[in-house]
Amino acid sequence: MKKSIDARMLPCPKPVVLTKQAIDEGDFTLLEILVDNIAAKENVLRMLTRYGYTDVEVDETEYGFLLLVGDRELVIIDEEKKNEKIVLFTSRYLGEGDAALGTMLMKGFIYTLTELESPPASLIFMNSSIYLTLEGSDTLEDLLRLESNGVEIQVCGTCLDFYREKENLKVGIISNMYSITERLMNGEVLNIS
Amino acid sequence: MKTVKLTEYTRFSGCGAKLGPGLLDKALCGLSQKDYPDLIADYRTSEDCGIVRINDKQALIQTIDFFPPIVDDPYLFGRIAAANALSDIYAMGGTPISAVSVVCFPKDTLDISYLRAMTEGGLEALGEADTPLVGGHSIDDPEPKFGYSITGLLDMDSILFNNRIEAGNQLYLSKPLGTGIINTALRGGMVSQKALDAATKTMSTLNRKTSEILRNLPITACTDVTGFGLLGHTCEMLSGNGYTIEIDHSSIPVLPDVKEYLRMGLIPEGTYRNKEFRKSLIKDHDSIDPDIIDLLFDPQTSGGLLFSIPKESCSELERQMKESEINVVRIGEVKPGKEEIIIV
Repeated sequence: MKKSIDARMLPCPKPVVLTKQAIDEGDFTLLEILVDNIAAKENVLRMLTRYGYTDVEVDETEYGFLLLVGDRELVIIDEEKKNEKIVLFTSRYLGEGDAALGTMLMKGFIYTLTELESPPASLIFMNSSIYLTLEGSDTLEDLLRLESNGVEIQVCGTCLDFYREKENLKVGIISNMYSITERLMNGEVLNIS
Repeated sequence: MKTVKLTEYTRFSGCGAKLGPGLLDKALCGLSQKDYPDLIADYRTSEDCGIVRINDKQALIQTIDFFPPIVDDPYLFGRIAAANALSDIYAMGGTPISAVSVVCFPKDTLDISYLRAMTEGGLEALGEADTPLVGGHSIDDPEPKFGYSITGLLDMDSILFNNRIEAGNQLYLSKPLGTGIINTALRGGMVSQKALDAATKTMSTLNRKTSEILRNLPITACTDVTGFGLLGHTCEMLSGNGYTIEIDHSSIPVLPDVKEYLRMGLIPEGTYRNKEFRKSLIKDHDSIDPDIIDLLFDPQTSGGLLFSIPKESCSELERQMKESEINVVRIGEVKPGKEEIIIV
């Protein structure tokens, strides 16, 4: 069911309080929040991030902003997540050198992740590494398998926009710098580039 | 009498009720008045108080500050309002000599005993400052507001200006940050007793002793951290100097639970106005963790003194503060360079 909150004309921190109430009650497939100022938009986004809703659509409207949140299982980012293994990808190739070799090594690396007894908790793709998550990527199958085994896959939204590939994304969730940074600061990070 | 929550009578979070710095600039920018020979600081400077010389040795300083309720207990609200108003005098290195109260009170919806309690709380703090209350002015207003105008005296040779920093100076802060965020959490019904108690305690504490110690040390610049947040007031320190101030954010003392409230978006609107007005002076502001930058722009009520001192005097400063059980923390340094703030 769709839930709507009209938080226009409400003083801070009322929009955040109403959003928290809606999250606590749960029971929605789409949550729509209307706000009329930047502070309310930013604050509500934070509250949503805090409760694991990282893929929020924000539309600018004539009266302010409309925030759209799809339902998903609540992932409260907390102490439990600390010290989990996170792999940060920043390039489509593994290592500097010949591109064909770099591609092959990356494919091999991601395949090997699927064979591990305890795979990393999270894979984060930034800059040109986002190509690994797109339609036609030869690592896509392995990434989908990792995702179905519970590995979180976050793909940098700014990077997808920059390379104009957002509609070709085939695996993972579109993420932002804030939630990526939070993830990186709270885990054991392995940087593959 | 029915017990009510004072903070429910207002839309605002404490100092967050201020007109934004950008807006004030629009109202005042370019407005001038006659040249008065004894006028040292007026509305055109960003000093903590107005300053008028009264003889060769002394100046009169004046300030006013009042705001809507930031706590629910009227006695504590009065006490905090007085500590906050007195703080501007202390930030200049002055001695308060008299106080006048400013009262907006909803006589039809709030029992008059609340005003009595606010005044009592204020008198307690004024007593600690040895400052007589000489009068006041009240109006009927649906949204309560309370505060004081304070007059003080200042020795001409010990004025603590807010922007005379020098390269190599160390920057100190005398109270923890986060009162604006805790007030927002209080209004959102999500505050912990621990956080509320700690915020109330720090807001109720006078900056008197801190200021008295600073007067006998070679302080180069001093201000109190209030509505514009730590970074807003640090920007005022920068102005016209051609120095860089480097702030080590990890050294800054923070009130309990504030970091969790930041992550929940319990951030006063004033923070966003402060940030918008001053972010161009913060190096790489877009790549700094928003939790850090929002804490550093959090509007404070009755915040601590922020001051700079030559490096060689730091150990003496720290010794004297420790002796008086005041917890000052070194948070940064003045360096030669472009006029900006670097957060490390």
